[in-house]
Amino acid sequence: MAPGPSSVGTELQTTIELLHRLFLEVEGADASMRKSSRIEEILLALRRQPNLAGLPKKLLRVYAELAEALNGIRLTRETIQAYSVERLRDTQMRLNAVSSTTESAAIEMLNGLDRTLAMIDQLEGSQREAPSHEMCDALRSEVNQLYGCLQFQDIIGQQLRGAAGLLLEVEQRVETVASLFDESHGARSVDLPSEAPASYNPDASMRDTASRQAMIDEAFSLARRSAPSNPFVTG
Amino acid sequence: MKCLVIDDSATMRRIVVNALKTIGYNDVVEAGDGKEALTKCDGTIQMVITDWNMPIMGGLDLVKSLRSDPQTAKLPILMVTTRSVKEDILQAVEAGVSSYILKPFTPQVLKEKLDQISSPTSGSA
Repeated sequence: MAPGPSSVGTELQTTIELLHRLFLEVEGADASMRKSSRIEEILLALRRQPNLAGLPKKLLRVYAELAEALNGIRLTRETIQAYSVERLRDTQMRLNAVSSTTESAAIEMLNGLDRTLAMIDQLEGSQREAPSHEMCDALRSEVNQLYGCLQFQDIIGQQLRGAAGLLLEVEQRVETVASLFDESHGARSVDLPSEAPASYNPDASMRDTASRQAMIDEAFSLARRSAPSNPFVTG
Repeated sequence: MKCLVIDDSATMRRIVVNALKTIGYNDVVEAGDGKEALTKCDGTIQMVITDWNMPIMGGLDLVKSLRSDPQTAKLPILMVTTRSVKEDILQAVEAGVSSYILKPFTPQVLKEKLDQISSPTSGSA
């Protein structure tokens, strides 16, 4: 694992401090130790660096600023994890709850419609004061229309699953971004779920069905003509 | 005519079954995905009505599988789906779908398409 910025900073600071101490010791040593012209040359060059003595202090200040910035990032990461991810997860759970609630409601409605149809049959078949066949047919037609209306559940369910899937992806991306600032984990690659075949269509819609069906019929005819090898389409 | 209705939504299956009954198709078998549908194709099925987006095995793979089996290759197949992009239609035709209905549909549209694909001149049955 690559070292974090704080450990690199500490190491650099220690090295500079050691160098500085070495420089002072060599400078303060007796002439016999400095008789090498190379050492003299280096000491002279070092003396010409006016900021060298102050470098450790400057590094310390930079390090303190970096540490503060890192702390800010860490706080941001914690905030993202504590609020954003939690909120996204909560929203996703709510969407799933809405989806299952509408499904349960739709199933209850279907059960009610089944019972209503059975009652119409019963009424029609009963001997005394049976309503007219016309009325039963009209009632049956109404009930059957209601069955069709319940397709909203399937379509809304697909839209909700699409939105929940999107939230899950956003949540994973936010977590990945948050972990990028986490020193303890080092650099992480984006780890998103693989694209499984979706059991829903997020673009499902209840709107303009008639005109969209007409468009589909046209596109289907065109596709059929351009794919004459398909012997299974209508003639 | 015996129909096989495939949809992962139990609600949608019931709606399709009801629509089929209102237009005179009373012999209906149901399946929740393509894989289950294949186990129900026992030689008595005369019409397949399938959704596209399903877990385990989707509608498109089911159509390809049915077309590749000599026993089911000529079954009329109606795709009932929310997918309305042209590329989807092209894929459906290439896979061997006989006709295509957009959800939500009415029993009248269902009848119209079923009449088309089940007629002897359609080349599907």
